[in-house]
Amino acid sequence: MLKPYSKWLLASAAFFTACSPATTPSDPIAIEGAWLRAVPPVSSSMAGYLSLTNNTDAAITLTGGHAEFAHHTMVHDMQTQDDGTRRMVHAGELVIHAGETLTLAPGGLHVMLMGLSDVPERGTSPTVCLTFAEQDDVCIDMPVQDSAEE
Amino acid sequence: MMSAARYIFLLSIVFLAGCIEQREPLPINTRLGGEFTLTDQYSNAFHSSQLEGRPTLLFFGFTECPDICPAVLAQMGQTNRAMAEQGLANRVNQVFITFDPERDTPEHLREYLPWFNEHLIGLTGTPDEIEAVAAQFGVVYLLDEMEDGDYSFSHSDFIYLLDDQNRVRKLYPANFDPKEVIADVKTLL
Repeated sequence: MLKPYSKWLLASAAFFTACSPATTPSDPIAIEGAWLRAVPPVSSSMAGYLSLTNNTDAAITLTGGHAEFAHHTMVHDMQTQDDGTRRMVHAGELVIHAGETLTLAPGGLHVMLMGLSDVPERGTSPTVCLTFAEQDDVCIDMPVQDSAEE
Repeated sequence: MMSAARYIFLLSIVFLAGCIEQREPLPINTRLGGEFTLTDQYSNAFHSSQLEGRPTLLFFGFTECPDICPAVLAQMGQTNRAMAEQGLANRVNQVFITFDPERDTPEHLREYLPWFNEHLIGLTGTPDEIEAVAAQFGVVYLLDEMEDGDYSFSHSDFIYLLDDQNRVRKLYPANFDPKEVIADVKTLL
């Protein structure tokens, strides 16, 4: 039988966990190293990066995302063309096979948040949700910083 | 007969000369660069001669770019702060030239650029003016129509180091090392 204060502690822990979206390495879809690149307050778009590991035994399909502060959210890629230019393209749906990790990093795949209604400031951690074809959204807090190393 | 002390002194000079890192002068790129006139973030005509007298770090991009351009601008800001720590504050120009004049108006550049570095010079112009300057520096940029009617650009992403006579001396990739840039800048001061 739990003592009353232990129940409150457990309830508090559950409350904080629910209010602080995050994944753990053992979750079916584990996300690590998530961050948003800080941009000026007059910006209309910003990029986010993360590593996503599929810990299930079946392939999953990343279809896009959504965030309260962005009109639309997609996954884009930067591709180097034959002429040396870098071109941003819509990555479309990305299949992540069982056990695989998909990495979104500067200069390559990234979460593109566009039509920003409110540009998150450095030091804040707004919530961004990733959408999948096979399952519910996975929502995470993404700290706003200048680089991955912070 | 040379005294031992004088001999040791001369030997020390030879040794010291060998220890001082000898950097090769940066070559002068005669194929890229040249004079130009664009419009700065205060809507004033800006001639390239206004950059003379100091080295310049020059980057072409657009402010709607979410990935490479803000990363480069942030890196240039970091480089500027590192130079300030070494007593080199305000001895290098940093210039951003947009190839998106429709959205990157002088007013928008004035609002956007200081966030990275208050000393950044932002230049825009007519599409023809920008196309001409981009060609002078070998910059390739192509309009990409997006699905929702918006547009982006495919573009080359080099950073240019110019000397105090506006001659191109070196190109860096977008993920440049600020230490390398600072070392190169010092050879031009």
